[in-house]
Amino acid sequence: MAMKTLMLLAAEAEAPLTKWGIFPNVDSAVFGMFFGIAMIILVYVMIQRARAGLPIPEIRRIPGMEAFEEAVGRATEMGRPVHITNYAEDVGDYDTWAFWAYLAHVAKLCATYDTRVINTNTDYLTQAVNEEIIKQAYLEAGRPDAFNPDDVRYCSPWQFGYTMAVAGIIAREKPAANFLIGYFYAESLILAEAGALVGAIQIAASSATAQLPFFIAACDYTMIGEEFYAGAAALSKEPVIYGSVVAQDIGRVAFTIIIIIGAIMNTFGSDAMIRLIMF
Amino acid sequence: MKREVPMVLALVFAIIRIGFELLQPMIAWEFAPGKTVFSRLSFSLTFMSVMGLLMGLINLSRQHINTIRRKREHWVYSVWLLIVLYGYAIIGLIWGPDSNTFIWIYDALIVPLDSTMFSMLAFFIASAAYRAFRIRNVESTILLVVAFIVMLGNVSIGEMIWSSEAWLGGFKGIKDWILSVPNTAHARALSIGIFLGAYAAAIRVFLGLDKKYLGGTD
Repeated sequence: MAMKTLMLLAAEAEAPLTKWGIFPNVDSAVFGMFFGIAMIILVYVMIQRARAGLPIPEIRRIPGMEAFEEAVGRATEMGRPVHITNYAEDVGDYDTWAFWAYLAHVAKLCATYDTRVINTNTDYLTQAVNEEIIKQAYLEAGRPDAFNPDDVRYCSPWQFGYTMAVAGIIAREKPAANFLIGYFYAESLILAEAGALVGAIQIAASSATAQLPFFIAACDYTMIGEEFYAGAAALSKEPVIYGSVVAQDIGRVAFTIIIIIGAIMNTFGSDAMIRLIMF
Repeated sequence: MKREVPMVLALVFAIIRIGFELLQPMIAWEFAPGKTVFSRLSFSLTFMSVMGLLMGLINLSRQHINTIRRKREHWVYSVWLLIVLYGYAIIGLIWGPDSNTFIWIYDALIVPLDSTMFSMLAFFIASAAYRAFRIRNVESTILLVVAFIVMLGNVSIGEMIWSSEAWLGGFKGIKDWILSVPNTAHARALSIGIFLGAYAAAIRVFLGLDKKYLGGTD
């Protein structure tokens, strides 16, 4: 009876507000903090090694990355524009930050080869930054006069309004290269098929796992998952940035080891690893 | 200076944001009654979005006015776009977003147009699937076979051919296994990679190593 009363009291007692007095009482709050600190140290160490010229592991070539110049070159030969877009994320999202590396690269290539680059947007703040990035790329290529602000287009904040606008732009402007880079939702296949219909060479890079099958089916090259972020870092060709990609890979190996150990422990009836991660 | 100030701001706001989202004393701290730092940050984001909306409106108007002025191809559509854009905004401003006219335009035009665009996906899936499922090599053959089984597992004719009560649970049983075991395993592996990639990308920006948002390719 006493035990039952105690259990009832425990059930009625409010859950503690914090973990260790400072972390909010949500899953993985403490583990997440320590993991974050470990990642920052790892990134810092790898960058320092790269700066000092010490050996760091090589990162493999990504086929999609090699195709950027080929795609812009093809557009130049055909006298047709290049289209690049990022649908879903706003300026505060890391997908957009990664997209900007691709945008700067593509815009610089286009400026160098004297090819029009059309950028379509669904977010007005992203569009403003994109315009500056493209303008700067034209400036760096020594052709600031060739920059056309009308080619950086704000379409609609509405998903299918944007989709209709971009599909229409692709059908009218007939870009020879179509870059779909960033986070996408249901519009992914419509945009990719619109590009395929006009015969554009298509390169997609996305972290949206649900949309990757569509891109793989409809595009010539697709960078999947972390390749999207690694590619953004690799574009800079700086060993310092390479260091962060190596840190990312080491983190993945660490995760794999944690998963294997956790699976073995769970098989033998211990949930210590799960509790550690969820703490 | 033009590049240093935004980089310092990015780092400072990253630290503030991490602190005020991850540490309970900072989350709960009120600098004025009922006002937390996080609520003020959210408000500033809303304010920026509203200002950004104005920029989007200016960009869209400038682009289509230029199209009309230069009589580019399909310039009539630009006229129509400007009429709809400002017309709908004026209706909303005068009669309010809860007025019957405003709601009717939304329900009678935007919703069906949205559905029409979404329904086009079915046809695009068919054409993309046709290209992807052509047998060219071992990988595309595996893709075709697996896709065929999953399709049969989802439609009633699959149930008629090989019942879910039969050996292995029929097409449905195999489809469920494909989706819940190999598919989930790959999706989770991909998700871990994406999480780490995003984490590294965020750290690069916070530490000022990735400066693409400032423009330039260096």
